[in-house]
Amino acid sequence: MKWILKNAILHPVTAEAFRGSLLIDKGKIAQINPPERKGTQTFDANGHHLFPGIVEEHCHIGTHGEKTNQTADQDTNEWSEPITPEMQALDGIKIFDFGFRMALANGITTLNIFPGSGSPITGVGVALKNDPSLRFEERILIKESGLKMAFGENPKSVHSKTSKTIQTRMATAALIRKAFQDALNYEKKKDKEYNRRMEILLKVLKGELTAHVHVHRADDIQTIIRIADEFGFKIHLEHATEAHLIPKIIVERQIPVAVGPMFTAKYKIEVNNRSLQTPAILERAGVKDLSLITDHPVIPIWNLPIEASMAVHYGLSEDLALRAITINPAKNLGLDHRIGSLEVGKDADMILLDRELLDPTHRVLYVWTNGNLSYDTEKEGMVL
Amino acid sequence: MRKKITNVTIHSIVQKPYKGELIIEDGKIAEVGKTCSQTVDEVIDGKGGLCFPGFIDAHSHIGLNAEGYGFEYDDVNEMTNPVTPEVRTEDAFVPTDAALKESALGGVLVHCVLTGSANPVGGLAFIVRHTPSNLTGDKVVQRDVGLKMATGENPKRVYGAKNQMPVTRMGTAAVIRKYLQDGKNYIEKKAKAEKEKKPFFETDLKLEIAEKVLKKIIPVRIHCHRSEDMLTAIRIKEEFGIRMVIEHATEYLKVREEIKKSGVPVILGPFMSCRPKVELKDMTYKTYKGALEDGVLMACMSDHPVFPSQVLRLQAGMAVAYGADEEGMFRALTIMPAQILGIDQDFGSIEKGKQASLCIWDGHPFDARSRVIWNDQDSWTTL
Amino acid sequence: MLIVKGAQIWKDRGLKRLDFSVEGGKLSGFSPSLLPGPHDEVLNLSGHYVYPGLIDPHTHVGLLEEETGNFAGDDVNETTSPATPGVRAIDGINPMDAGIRNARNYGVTTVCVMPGSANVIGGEGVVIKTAGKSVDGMVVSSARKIVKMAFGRNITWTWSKKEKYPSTRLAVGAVLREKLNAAKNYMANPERVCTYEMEVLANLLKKEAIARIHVANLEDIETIARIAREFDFDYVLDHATALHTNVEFAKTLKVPVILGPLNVAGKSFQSYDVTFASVKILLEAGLLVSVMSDAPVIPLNLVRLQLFLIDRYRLDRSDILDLFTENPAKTLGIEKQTGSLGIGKDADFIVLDGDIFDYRSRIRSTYINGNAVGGEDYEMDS
Repeated sequence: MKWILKNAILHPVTAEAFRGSLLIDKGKIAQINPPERKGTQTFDANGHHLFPGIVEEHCHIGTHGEKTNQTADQDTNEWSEPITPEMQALDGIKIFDFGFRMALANGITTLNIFPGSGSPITGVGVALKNDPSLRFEERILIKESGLKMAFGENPKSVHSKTSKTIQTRMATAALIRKAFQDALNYEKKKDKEYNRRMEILLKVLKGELTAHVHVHRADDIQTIIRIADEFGFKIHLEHATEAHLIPKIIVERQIPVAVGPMFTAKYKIEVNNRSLQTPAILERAGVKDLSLITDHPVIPIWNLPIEASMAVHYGLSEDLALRAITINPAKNLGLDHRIGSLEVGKDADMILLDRELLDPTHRVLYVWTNGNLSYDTEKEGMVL
Repeated sequence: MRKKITNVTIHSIVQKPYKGELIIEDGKIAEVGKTCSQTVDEVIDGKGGLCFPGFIDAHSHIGLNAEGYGFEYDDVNEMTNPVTPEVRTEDAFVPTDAALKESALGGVLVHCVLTGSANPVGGLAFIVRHTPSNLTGDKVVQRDVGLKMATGENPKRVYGAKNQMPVTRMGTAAVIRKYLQDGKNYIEKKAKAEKEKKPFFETDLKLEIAEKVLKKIIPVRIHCHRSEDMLTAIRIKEEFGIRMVIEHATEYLKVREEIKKSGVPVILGPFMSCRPKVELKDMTYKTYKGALEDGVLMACMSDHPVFPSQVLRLQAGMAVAYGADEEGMFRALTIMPAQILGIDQDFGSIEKGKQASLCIWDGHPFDARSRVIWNDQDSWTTL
Repeated sequence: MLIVKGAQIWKDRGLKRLDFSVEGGKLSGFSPSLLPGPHDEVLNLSGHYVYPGLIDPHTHVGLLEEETGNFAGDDVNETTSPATPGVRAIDGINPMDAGIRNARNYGVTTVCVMPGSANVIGGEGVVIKTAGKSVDGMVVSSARKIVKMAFGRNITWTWSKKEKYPSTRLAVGAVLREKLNAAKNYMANPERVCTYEMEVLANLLKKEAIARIHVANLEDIETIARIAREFDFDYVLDHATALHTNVEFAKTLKVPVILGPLNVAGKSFQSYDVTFASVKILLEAGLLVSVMSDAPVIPLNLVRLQLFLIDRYRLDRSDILDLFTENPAKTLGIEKQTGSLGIGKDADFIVLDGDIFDYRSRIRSTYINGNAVGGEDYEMDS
């Protein structure tokens, strides 16, 4: 179906904002400022602000049961063993979880869902289009969006109690090294039986899958860089709480950094240096590949654009702030050809707001996914 | 606001069924008969259905373990102390429990909510009726209507595991006796202070409830399955001169003479279950028939969530299959539980002046295929 | 005397261009133009905005310390008995806690600090200003005495794990009734031996103190209301997560409510109804509503996020500011001392370089009792 969205202030993110209109065709943005056509259905945006759908690079929606029982519906961490790359977040997701609606109502149209951070290697994430009109399997954008790994306090605190395999950071590093060495040995082996655990690790070693590493402290960041160098695989840093203390290392190696959740208490020693200035410091040091994450349910997902606002409050440029919640996470997931900006040929995932996205007092008015109206706030109410 | 229900067969419980009409005013039955003369604001066509008083589930834990919420909402048993008369089901009741609405579809509009049977002395029961409100306060029919006690396997199992009294049936009886004796002493102490015109500053909330029991203001609602447990209960009743209702009474038939003689009402059930405990070995639907024949005051319970209150009526239907009188089983769902609970002036039959706690059925309630199509709280219902 | 000139100041529910003076830690005068005397200190705040210091009526700052790792400085719940009226928050507060530093640097000048929600009766809370090295010197003495209580599933989680009474909600109310009954006996006994626990509860029954009750679900709020009628004491509902689901009932209670923390995900059934919309619904119902951070649940450096998110409901912005200033002041009984800018009140105010609802504006400085004690730049220096 073709339709025109007219009279909006368009914020393509990848270009300057302008007043204009869009032609949507077959769920894609087909044309910018199309000529008026009679007979084409038209939606008048009344001069409100149109942004691309927001992209959440790191959350646990669906594996964490929203508004439900703490044990019965929690499937984020398979903490029985320390190395479980064969776990798929996809298998832990509750399809009708309220979190999806919460994300949609607040303009988040793409969700990358990772297993938790309770183990050194926890499993594989999945990227989903948050489009309620699609059947669940159709929402999958990338079935294996990255291998989740974790350093620091979480694997320690979990596995000192459960599998009794980790007491120190040294053991976390050793277990990860051993896992990748096992994978290399497996590859060399002849007449081997298929081992999914090893195959996933081999994908990382071959560069087919990126390691997304939960890490807070600067020393942990350097440990994972050391291991990645030893084995030669690609990493993304998740949380990266102390990245602003070692910006040079990150710039030199051009490692993508996903900062957040920025709005929690300093309840672990390893987050004591959390700062709302981290994005701004990284930008000043030359980091371009910055994204922001909420780690929902650690902080509710509606805070994703507000994290960008507060980063601006502390000196981040508005341009990078907007990119950090749209095109940058899209790029990190390998989806920037489809989502993350308002450009011809991309999925028509769009949100209409009454104020600018970076103004945290904005209201999301409408959300479209793949060109279809998915959320109408006036009818369905805000979810906050 | 006066409403008239027409085109129904009225099963008033106190009379043979007849095709008739009734008028509801301010939530009460203002008139009932073959035809009603008063002018009304609204007429409800009963579509030829069967109009019954709302069934009364005299022994339930509905709202204490709200449906689908797991352990987070499990507040049936305070298993930390064998004597907890001070706990109240009203404090733990969840008025939004989905089971309440489902029960209404099965014709049950009134529930007596008791604590579980882990403790020899359990806690205070209260009576609720189904309303659309999300407040407990809007559902309360009567507070503090009985003190739950328990005998048999449950207290033994719970406290035996902790090496704490009671570990045996003897222990359970001793715990109950001690509590009631403490109550007697407490009453004397209070009376002494009053006699000497001294201020009394040793109010004890646990024993205040024993006082109510000993002064026969509220009955003891005692969980018994086995015959010996029932006899122990009656023994204690005689010793302390208290009012009592025996709950479950699974082996009623074995001690029917004794129970009849004691004048203690029984609330039978839930017999629509398996027999996971030894004390349930001789459970049978024939018990209802026996109790009806003996003429004791008897009610049929669901023990929800042990057996869903929504299908309480099917249990009564099974009793009929096992020989119980059908009309008697309707009384065991309506007027007799009302009498046992002391709410028969308001509930339990369709009579002028009583609460309009009413259901219209599209078929016989003991037929699994039937359901309530209208009730006085929700009006027309959907599944 | 300090003369503050040139600023837009928030007074009487609106921004006004007024100068004001501070004397002896109190606000002493307001005028469109104040002329400083020879000995007066002048602070020129042209282009700046001055608001009353924010008040957070429900926190655990100083008790549940940040930056100590898994809350090593955790002194919030005395979980050795389900009723501990004898413990006092003031004895556990570390004034050097990062949480208190955050408070003053980000605009919160007064906080109420209370024990946690693991016990039916948690202990005595205290209202403090957020600057100082000794907590005794920070106490806001005009505040009404506070007895912290809690109902619902936090209690039963805590005590069922220990297999101790009260392990279910059947017994939560019973614990409170038992203690209040004991206090009544205590008060009636002419030969009583003074115990601190009983004195605290006697204060409550004499209405010198007010109960601050942690509660989420509607059915537990009903139980509280019932027990409050039975024993006749004053109370405030804290969190009151589901109260907005029955507005008519909420109106009948006639008690202040403190909503929050609201910027959280629903992590259990009992927080099913948590929503910012509750603020709008209960304000419109005419209740005295305040908003809490429950810090460190929501750290106080993010206190303004709550304003921004509530603003999405397009309420009158004066009403939104009241949620963080006058309303909590009234609830705590300190409205004559702080919570607004007026003559004779404590000089507790914050200076911003823009409108408080503008996310770009920064808190340049925070004043408590007329002294500059913090601001966002202070945080960055540290």
